Amino acid sequence: MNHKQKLTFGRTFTISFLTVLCLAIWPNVSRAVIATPEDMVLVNAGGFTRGIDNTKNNTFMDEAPAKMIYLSSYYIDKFEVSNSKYTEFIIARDHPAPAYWDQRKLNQPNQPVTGVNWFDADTYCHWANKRLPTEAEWEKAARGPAGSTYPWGDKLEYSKANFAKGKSGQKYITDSVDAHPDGKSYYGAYNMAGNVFEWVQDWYSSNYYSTDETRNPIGPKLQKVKNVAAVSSKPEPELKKKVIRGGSWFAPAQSITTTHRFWNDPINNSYGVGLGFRCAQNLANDLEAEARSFYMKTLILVGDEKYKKALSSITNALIGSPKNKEYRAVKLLIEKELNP
Amino acid sequence: MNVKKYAFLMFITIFFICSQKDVYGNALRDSVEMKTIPAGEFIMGSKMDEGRADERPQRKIYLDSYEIDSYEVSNNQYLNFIRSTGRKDPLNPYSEILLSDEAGVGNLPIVQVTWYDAVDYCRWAGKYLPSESQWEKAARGEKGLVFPWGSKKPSQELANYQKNWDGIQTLWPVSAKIESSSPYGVIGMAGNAREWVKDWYSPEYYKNAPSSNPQGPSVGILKVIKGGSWHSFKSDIRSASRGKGGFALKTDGIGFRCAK
Repeated sequence: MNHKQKLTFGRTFTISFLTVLCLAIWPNVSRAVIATPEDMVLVNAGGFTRGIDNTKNNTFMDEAPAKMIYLSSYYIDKFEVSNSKYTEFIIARDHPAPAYWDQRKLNQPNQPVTGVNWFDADTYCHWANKRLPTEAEWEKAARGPAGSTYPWGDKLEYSKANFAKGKSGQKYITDSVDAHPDGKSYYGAYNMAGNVFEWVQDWYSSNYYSTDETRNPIGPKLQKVKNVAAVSSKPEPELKKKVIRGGSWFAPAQSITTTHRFWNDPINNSYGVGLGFRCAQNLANDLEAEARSFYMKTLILVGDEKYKKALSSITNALIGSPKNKEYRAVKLLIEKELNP
Repeated sequence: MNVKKYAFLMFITIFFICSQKDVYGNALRDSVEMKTIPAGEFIMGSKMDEGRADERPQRKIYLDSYEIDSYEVSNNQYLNFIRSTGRKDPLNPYSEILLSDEAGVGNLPIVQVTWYDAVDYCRWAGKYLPSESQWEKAARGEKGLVFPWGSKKPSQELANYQKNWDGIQTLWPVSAKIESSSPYGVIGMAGNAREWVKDWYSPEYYKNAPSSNPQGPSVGILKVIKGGSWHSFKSDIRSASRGKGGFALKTDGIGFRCAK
């Protein structure tokens, strides 16, 4: 065999080898998809554009600059937590009712719970075996990989969300948590724009988007909060704020963009007649699943002979699962293809 | 000419004195019955096995004597205040017409009022908004009852709670249910309308409060709201239970009463 034949043979061998591998691990991957918890959506590991550069109109300084952020896979609630879900929690944990509990235009079972503070939201999520999403997780779930301005795209459409006092004067002022299906995000999350503001995990800092934390960022590390008392006993102005996202039924159009950042005191349950939340959850065996999904991607890239991209993908897989022999072998194969 | 000028000056002076009296006058402007709560200690807060963390520990607190409204402030009372001060009508929870034009609701408790509305009303009436401790003592007496009527579990016979909105049937008249009144005869301290009190909310306050005439923390973000309302679960209508909300919060279930 001459050199060229050798290469072709090698390539054919590699591709068929990888195809077999692909088929072998596919059931595992599809099982992971099927296992998405009820009423949650999967946001796959990968990069997304967080924030927006200040060259555009109607954006605020704290949303800049636009930056590529890497996030591991996670699940996020498809809907804002409803009054009926929150009722289960109140009963199970003898938790106090939220601020707008006796406001009939807001307290129907399928409307989002309104009038919770950050501690209520955090306690609920842990009760549900979940957690609050980080600010970056919230933003990625809302805007999708293409970085759209609104969950559904780049054009403001009044029919796709409840905002700008959209429902005031009507029988109910917030919409059901499953309303506006055509306004859902790329990943399938509903009402990420309008309806109620949503608490996220992070502390608020106006310059956080310009920091170097680009891999699974968790917000500024200002102080560790163990309970309500630790925060509220701090006198002003050390009192720190938590981020709220997404705008509300009451909020004007410029505050319902996927990049808009707002803040509220973590103990304040009454901000703006519309303060709710949704939860997120880690993938079971997170790193492993993530590495696997990078590996899958690698095999597809190799099949397309896109070796440079394949190399970066397999490198990511090895971050999650550094000792995996399968991954290492594939990496060697790719390196050989790149430098024969 | 001079006489005219003099008369005009007199008129201005009298008007000025009268309007001053409007603000500082001590005369009670609502004729609602009040109960006297004698000076002395009472049991405030909840024991370890009862209630929530922010109500603990249970302590003996001394309060000077004071009076408190026997009932929640009614729509009629509040509308008198609106008329005599030229303020805007509060939101009408029952329909789209003005609250003053709504029939059959005069004796229901006023709701849809902010903490400032409550403070202003009490001041206008020559009274003040009770402190959290004054409210709690008036509700549960000296011996630390769980509910105003005792430790018996609440029922729809005793209290208006855990109900869904039902138009003008939702809230009870302010004088309803003498049988569930507190040891001092104060009515409506569990359920019906939640009630604004003067104090800022701090989850630590039951631990740190002075044991004599506590007035609440000096700063805060939320005000305390006591007693629970028509939609509350039973845990939230306990006398020690501590609701909370920003001073601009308004709902179909938040009202108040005054003290003096």
